[in-house]
Amino acid sequence: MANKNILVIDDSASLRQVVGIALKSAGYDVVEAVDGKDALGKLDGRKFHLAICDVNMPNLDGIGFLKAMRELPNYRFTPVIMLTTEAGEDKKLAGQAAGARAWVVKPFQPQQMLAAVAKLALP
Amino acid sequence: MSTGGAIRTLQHWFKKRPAPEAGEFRDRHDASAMTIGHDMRNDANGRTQAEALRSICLRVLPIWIRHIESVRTQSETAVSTLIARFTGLMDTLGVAIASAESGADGSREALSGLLRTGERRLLDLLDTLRAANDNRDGALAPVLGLGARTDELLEMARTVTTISGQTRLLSLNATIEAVHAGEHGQGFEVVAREVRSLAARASEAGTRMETRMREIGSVLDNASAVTGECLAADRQTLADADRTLRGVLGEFGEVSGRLAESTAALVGVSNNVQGEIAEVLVALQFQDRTSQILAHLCGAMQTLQRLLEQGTPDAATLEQWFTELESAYTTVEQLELHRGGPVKADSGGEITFF
Repeated sequence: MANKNILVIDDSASLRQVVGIALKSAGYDVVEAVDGKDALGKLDGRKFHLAICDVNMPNLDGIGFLKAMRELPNYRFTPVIMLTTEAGEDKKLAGQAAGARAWVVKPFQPQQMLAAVAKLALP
Repeated sequence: MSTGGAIRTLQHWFKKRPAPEAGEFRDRHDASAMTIGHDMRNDANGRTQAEALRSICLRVLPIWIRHIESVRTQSETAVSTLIARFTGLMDTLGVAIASAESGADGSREALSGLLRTGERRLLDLLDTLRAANDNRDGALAPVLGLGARTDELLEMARTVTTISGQTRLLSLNATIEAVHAGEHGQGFEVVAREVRSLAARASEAGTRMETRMREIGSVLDNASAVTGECLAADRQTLADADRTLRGVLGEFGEVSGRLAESTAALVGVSNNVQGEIAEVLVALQFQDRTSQILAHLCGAMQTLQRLLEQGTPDAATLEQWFTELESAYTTVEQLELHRGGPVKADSGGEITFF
């Protein structure tokens, strides 16, 4: 059985590495993108079971990416976890309104994130 | 002078007086500040203090932005390298642990199997030797019993000697009676004489048999004693071999157990180290926060630089810039630092499901 595919979007290479390590150790396949614009380019028809997305990024931020992703029929229902340093309620509500399924404040414990991924990833 | 030190120096001057003296700035700043000092001398030629301040900022802001960007890039690169190294360590440890676990299991099973096989074979060998000893004991038992038989034969030889003696005596009496019988007893006397002769020969034979049987009995007694000692020594050797063998097997078993324990301990320690490295990787997420804070700082400086490039901003414009600065913060500690309150870093880890 093929591994589930997770799209990880973060402008911080170190965060992408940390998230990637945790996901790969749990048996997921990981595709990385450096910002929202880069991530949109990765949405080329392949199936993503879930996306983990930073909020504050250059070029296209996380909320912008989420809104653009929801416009694409293939990815309308792809679950997205926002992984961010943003602790403010306004941003969190904006994420929820854009269609995020969970909001994780960094720094995170890999086990917590993996639990959220396991809970939300598409079958 | 560091960027932070330079900022604190500027802050100090602005608190004391509207603008620094050119000489003072030059004395306390590095070579790049001498250019700024030149601007300050121009100030003395008629430029306003606000213009001088604007000039300083326009000079210094790009430098500070480059410094901060450099710090951000260097720390990002360093942390990325650290993460890659730690990830490599974790992978290496993972391979070592898997190898130790599977190797330990395999070696333990192989060693255990070898010990069981060796024990079984050696005990079988001891059983074979024991059976061979028993067979030999059984075979030697009739030989050892010959001692008792020679006694019987000796007794029989004595009986023969005794009977021959009595027969001789009887024949002698018969001869005497034959003599008393006179002519009629002559034939009987001949018979009595022959009987006496036979008795004498029988007596000699009995004596020889007794002598021979004593010699044979002595030889058999010696052989029996030697054989008994040999059998006892063999039984002792077998018992010693059994004890030694079980001792050696027990020691092998102990060494095998200790080896398994030490492998298990090694795997346990490696797992702990792997866990610690995983914690380090989590802790290295601070880089993302510092990077965001520094990026935000650079952005704010760039905005201020653009404002200053358009001319000396009025109070309302500066106030708006300040408000936007505050509203753009992404972390709690940024806001706390901005407001001058106690800094309490966000511990993170909070998950909200929608």
